[in-house]
Amino acid sequence: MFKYVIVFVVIASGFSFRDNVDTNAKIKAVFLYNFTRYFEWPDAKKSGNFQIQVVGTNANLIKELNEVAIKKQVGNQKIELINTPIFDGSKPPHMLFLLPDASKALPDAITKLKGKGTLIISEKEGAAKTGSAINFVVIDNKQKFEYSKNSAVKAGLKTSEDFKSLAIAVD
Amino acid sequence: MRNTYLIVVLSLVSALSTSLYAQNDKFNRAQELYAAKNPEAAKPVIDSVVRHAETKKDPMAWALRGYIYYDIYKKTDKLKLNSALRDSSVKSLMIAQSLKPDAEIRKNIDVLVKNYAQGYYSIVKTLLQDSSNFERSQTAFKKYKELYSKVDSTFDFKQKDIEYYSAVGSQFSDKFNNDNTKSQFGEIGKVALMKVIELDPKNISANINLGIIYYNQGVNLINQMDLDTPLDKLEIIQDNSAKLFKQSLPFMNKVYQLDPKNLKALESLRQIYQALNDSEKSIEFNKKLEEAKKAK
Repeated sequence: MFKYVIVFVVIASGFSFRDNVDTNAKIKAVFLYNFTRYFEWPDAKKSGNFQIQVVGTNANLIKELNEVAIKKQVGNQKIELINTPIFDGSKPPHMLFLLPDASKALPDAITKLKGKGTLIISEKEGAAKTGSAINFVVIDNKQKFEYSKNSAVKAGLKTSEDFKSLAIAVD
Repeated sequence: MRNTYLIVVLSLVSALSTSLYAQNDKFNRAQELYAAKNPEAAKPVIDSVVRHAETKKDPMAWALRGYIYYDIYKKTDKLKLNSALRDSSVKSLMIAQSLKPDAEIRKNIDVLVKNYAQGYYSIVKTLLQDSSNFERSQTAFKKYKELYSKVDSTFDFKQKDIEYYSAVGSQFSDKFNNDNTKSQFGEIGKVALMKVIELDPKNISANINLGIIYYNQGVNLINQMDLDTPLDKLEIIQDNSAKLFKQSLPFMNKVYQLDPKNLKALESLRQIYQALNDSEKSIEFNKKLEEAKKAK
């Protein structure tokens, strides 16, 4: 007498990551921008663009840092991002980040940039003990950083004591 | 005196018979109107029949009332979650069943009640797909199960539960994954997918979708972070996102165990380990992913 039809609820199964987001790149970009607040650069570096040089390859990080350069300033200085495959030291930037694939250049950078007001940042085990002022490390699945106050001072930077308490101090 | 008594008794019998005949006439009238596809006119007639003392225990009258109300419901209330017509019809059919009608009527009543149950299931679908209303869809699903179990008390709803909660999980996880401001959808998706996994631990789709929700929640925390976020707060955000990434792992690992060549699981594991800063494992799963892709 009565006919009924079974209606299945069929909805396409979803599978969508957040656009292959590189969370590490975003976190590093926030770290790098934060670092600019804890140091004072020499007077000679307080005019012109604030230069952040990244040596090596990391497209996602460069993309994030470009966002930083567009949206933010350091004091009155505009941020200028420079990405190079190798380090030559011809023009000392305010911050130099040697990516893992460029970490071999660390000794050369330390020598060439000594006292020139460049904050050297690296991402290589033990680098903070061999001349890098800041070295990214991974601890408990999280991005952290080692800090060498001595290296920052040798670079000609004035540092904040608060900064040491936020880092893994190596000296 | 004796004659007087007899007259009184006969008068009473006559009155009762007249009343019964009147109710039978009304029943027949309601049946005619129903057959003539005029349920609106049949409704008050059958209502008076089932209210009358002589016929209120007639299963046929109650069954006919159920059918008449069903015909009106079909026209006006079929897509409504709450319908007084549906409720009255079902109640009438249940009363008819309790009064033990003949087998043919019993069978027809069962079919009609199942039809009502399927109507609720259609509403479940509409509420989910058209308006993403989880609470109302859940109410409709509950009513579907209640009605269906009235006519088939041994029916195992496990597959239906899996089907329903999978649909809810997919629908809401999709909505959340496509719009990170819809965190409430992510929570609904999680609860539904957990339910599926509770019923069917090896359900690949539910495990993957649940893993993705947790992963995306972790990503959201980082994506929503402002560039000015202070370092101490950044530490907390990393803590919370790492917890979510770790929560997504068991679900993806489960799929990987069940199906080591599952591309979605391999891709997910690569991403999750990358987010957890475990580049060694991320590279390992990337390699497995590439191999699996080549093999397909």
